[in-house]
Amino acid sequence: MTTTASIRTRTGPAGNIPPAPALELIELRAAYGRIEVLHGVNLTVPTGTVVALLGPNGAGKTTTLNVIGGALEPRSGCVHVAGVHVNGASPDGLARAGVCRIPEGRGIFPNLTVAENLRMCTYSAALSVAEIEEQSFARFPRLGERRGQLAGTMSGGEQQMLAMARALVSRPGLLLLDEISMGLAPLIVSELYSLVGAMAQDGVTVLLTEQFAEMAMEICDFAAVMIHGRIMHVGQPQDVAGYMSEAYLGGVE
Amino acid sequence: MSEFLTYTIIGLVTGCIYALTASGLVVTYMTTGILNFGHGAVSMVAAFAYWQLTVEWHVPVLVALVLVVLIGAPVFGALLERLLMRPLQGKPVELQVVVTVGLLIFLLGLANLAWSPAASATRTLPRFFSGHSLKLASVFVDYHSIVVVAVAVAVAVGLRFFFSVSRTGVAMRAVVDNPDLAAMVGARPYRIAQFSWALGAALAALGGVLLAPLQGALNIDLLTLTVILAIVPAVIGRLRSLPLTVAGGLVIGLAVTYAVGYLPPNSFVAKAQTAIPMVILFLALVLLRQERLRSGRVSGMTLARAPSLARSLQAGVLFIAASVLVSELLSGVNLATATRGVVLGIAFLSLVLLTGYAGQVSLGQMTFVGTGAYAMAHLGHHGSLVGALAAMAVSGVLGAVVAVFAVRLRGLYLALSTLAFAYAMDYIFFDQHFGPYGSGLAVDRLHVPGLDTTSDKGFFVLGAVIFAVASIGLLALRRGRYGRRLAALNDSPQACATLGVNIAYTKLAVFSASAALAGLAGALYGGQQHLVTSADFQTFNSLVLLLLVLMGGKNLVSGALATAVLYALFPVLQQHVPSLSNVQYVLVGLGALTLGRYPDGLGGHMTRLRELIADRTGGQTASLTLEGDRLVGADG
Amino acid sequence: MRAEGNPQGGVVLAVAEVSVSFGGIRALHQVSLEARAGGVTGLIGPNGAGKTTLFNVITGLEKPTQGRVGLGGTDLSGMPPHRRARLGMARTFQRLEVFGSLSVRDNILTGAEFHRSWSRHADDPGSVTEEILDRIGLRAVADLRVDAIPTGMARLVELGRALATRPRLLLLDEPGSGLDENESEELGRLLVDLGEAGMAVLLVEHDVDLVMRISERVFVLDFGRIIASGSSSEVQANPDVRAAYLGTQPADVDDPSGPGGGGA
Repeated sequence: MTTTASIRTRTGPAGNIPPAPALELIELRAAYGRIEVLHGVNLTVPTGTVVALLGPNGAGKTTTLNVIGGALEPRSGCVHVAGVHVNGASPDGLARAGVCRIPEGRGIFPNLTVAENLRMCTYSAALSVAEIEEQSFARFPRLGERRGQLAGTMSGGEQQMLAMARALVSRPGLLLLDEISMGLAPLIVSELYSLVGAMAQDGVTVLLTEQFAEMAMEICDFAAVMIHGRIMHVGQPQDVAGYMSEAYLGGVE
Repeated sequence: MSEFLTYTIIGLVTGCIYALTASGLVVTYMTTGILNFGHGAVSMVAAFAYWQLTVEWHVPVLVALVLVVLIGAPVFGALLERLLMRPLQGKPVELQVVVTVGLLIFLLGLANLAWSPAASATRTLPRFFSGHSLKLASVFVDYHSIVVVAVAVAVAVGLRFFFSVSRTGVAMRAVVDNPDLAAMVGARPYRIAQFSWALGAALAALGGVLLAPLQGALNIDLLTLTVILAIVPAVIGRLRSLPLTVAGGLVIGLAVTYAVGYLPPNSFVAKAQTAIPMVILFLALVLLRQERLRSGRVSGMTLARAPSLARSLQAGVLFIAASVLVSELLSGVNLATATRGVVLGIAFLSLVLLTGYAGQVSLGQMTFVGTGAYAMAHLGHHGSLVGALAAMAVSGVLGAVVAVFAVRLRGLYLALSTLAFAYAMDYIFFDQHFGPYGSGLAVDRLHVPGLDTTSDKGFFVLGAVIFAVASIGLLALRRGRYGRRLAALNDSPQACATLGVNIAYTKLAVFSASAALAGLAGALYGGQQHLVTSADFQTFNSLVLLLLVLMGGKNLVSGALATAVLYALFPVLQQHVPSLSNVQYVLVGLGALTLGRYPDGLGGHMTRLRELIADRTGGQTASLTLEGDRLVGADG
Repeated sequence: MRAEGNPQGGVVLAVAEVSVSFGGIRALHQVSLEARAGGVTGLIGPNGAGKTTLFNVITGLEKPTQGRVGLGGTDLSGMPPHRRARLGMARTFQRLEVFGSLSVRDNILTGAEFHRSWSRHADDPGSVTEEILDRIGLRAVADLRVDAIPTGMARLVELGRALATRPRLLLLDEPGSGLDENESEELGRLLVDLGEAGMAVLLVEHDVDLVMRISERVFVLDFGRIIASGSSSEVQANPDVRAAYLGTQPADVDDPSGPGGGGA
């Protein structure tokens, strides 16, 4: 079974094809201690596209993002970001170099206020504190209302907005989103995804993981299905949908 | 009334110094997870450096303050982080404890070399604005006290401001909240850790410079010990809350001062007042919320395979034979040193059992050695075996009592509770019961039929035999059912609990057994020395003991012997080469510092060496190797 | 409680309205389920649904904020983990909790020795160990340190160690991850055998195929609630379950019309 997933078939944004894809994973293997989770992952994310990495729980999606974000060293294989070999780069180094990762669950500091959380964006964003707050509050007015509140006391949706505000203001070259819909009401999820869509329109390359595929399908250019640490299928969103149902719940229908 | 006011002011001033230094401890701990046992030594060195600059070299006070507190200490702290603490991240807690204890010993040794204690009485630091005072109600308060309070308030306010306004301060709180996310947003974790060590060291230095003039002549041990007490308010602040830490510092300062002032002199409590902070620490720890069971960890230790019974018996017989030979060759001081080596080796073995096999940490093992010696002194007249049995029983029961409180705790908190217990015992028990004014307690030598233990030769052989028997026993235990139980407990307490093991009981049993073995060592140690004083069993010695066991390889019987003999050699070296008197501490300190990078100690190196040799020479055994995920059987 | 027509035995494990919350976040909400003797009960659910938390509550490693757990009619409330184990439950862990410094054989032997230390009915630990080594098929690696074997095997070691205490209730947390297809097939057979021998097995597994194949009854946990239970085919056909796994709205699986109000 081939696991090579090339999605280079489509060109990047208008006539400006960059020399290297925003992200390229080559035969990536990774393990937690002795537990190997990725068994040779190949994936290419062309610049300016949105790719959804789908799959059931335990498939290795988050691990893939951990490796790309520098939180976990791969056992073997390569991670190329914009053509640069970045194996072994530190998470903070990658963040300052423009790889923005919004982790699964709460990507915020619960015991810091909203304003202090935004302050932390100054490490990776090229903006001043005032500009960061202005842009964030313009996009998410509710954050402005809660500026002095401890982030941990906000609702789950507001917390995720705060996490996404970092993605917004740091204008990343590559945005990694891990299960941003987890535990949130559909209305909020669609608001978050419309932001992702808008950022993609502006040319931000996005790799996102989702267990709940539907929303992600609407904004992604390609979807890749990951099962048991390997990419099993890549294609247009609508092609992948049928495959997914089978992969998740076993042969029904 | 004015008396009360006086005590209150003194208490507040002392409390402010505790609050200052404890804040430094907390700042470092909360961002890096390492509690610096060398914090007090940093304060001490800073005070001496400040004295050197202002008094000896006549550097202006302000310049000296800047040099020591704002430049020297922070640079030292940053270097510490870079060289020592970074490799310690995520290592077992006993290793983290021991490396900072190594720092403590290293700095003590260095200070003793640089500023000889012989001339200590001549070194005094003037108070700030000395001669000036202020009348407050009916009491005169000198300017220095006001400076201390003002500085403490300024630092508290400054820290609060720093943590809410500056980006680095906010980032430090962010690291506490979620270190992974802090890196993910682009904050440099190492730089933040480095900054927190620099800040911690600066606060320690500030505390030292303010404290020293209050203590009269500069005293290396007193300064260091006083600042070590900052651990108490830090624990009261749960090692993360600065306001609670400051409050804890003030409470300790006031409690100690009122105790000195109001308790009737000569009462037991008055004598033991120095123990108050440690009693408070013990209570604070015991009242801590019970923690959830730790899940398994990758031990990463190179585990030497326990030799078979036949081999350990062989080695034991060889060891005894060799010791008989040695007893014939050595005499006088050298024989006494060798005896102290094997006897202390038994105490080291008790830590091999507790820390090496069971993964529990004790910072107070010497206390059990001391209670053993005490029991032997009182019940072992003419070397009666009753004394040795009583030594094991008394220490074993005491170990169980400590364990009743301590087994609920784990990691650093367990270590601290044993430390608190040991310190409290120093003041409450050892200082009171080892002869009037610490003059010493006479201990008879254990007598066994068939061996003339009154002679130095005979007693040495007895020590060697007991060491050999204890070693063979430990190795047999390690290979057997009980050893598997301890290894299992060390590898995964969670799994043990869900397999029906009463973890608290198992820990209690091993604590008690280890204490009993230490008690036996104490009975023998007393006999070897004839006269023991409280100084023999001070907590500081417990720290050195644990350090040396880890240096030898914490689960190795042979490592325990090697480092015990080394330990026994200290006083001898000192006698022969007086100028070396502190070099050994510097060396031991340096040795401990390398543990951060080589956690398996000497024993680990030996094991690797032996495996290397075996690989070169042997290879005839069938071996199973892993290729990728698949298991492949291969004949070598 | 529904009357079931299947051939399972009596209820061994009864979880009744268990809720757990950590600092305001609700990990489990009014979860009730049961596992019967003589078969495998499956528990599935997406990431973060609360399966491991439920295991921790059952084994006493975590305290529920509400609800009770019963084993064979005994209420386990407030009982520490080791006393629960002595009543006859054993488990494996999603994040391995093997005794890494011991060999494969010694891991199982230790389990058997633990059993012997608290049970009057325990057999000789040595012979129990050899029997289990054959049963889980790890004899070839029996002398290797568990630190040094692949995950899939280490999971089997945990299973063997749990079996060494002769439990009536076996809780398995993702025993199949790290196994290849053949191995997971064998695991399935082993679990069915254990069930047939009278044990109650509660199986958490992300290999849904395996769960569906061997479970008499399946419970589905989603966001800390049980959203469905029943036979494999009932659960597979349940639209709520498909929604939980695929993120579609329950009412209209094939219709991508806009989302409704407050979701699950």
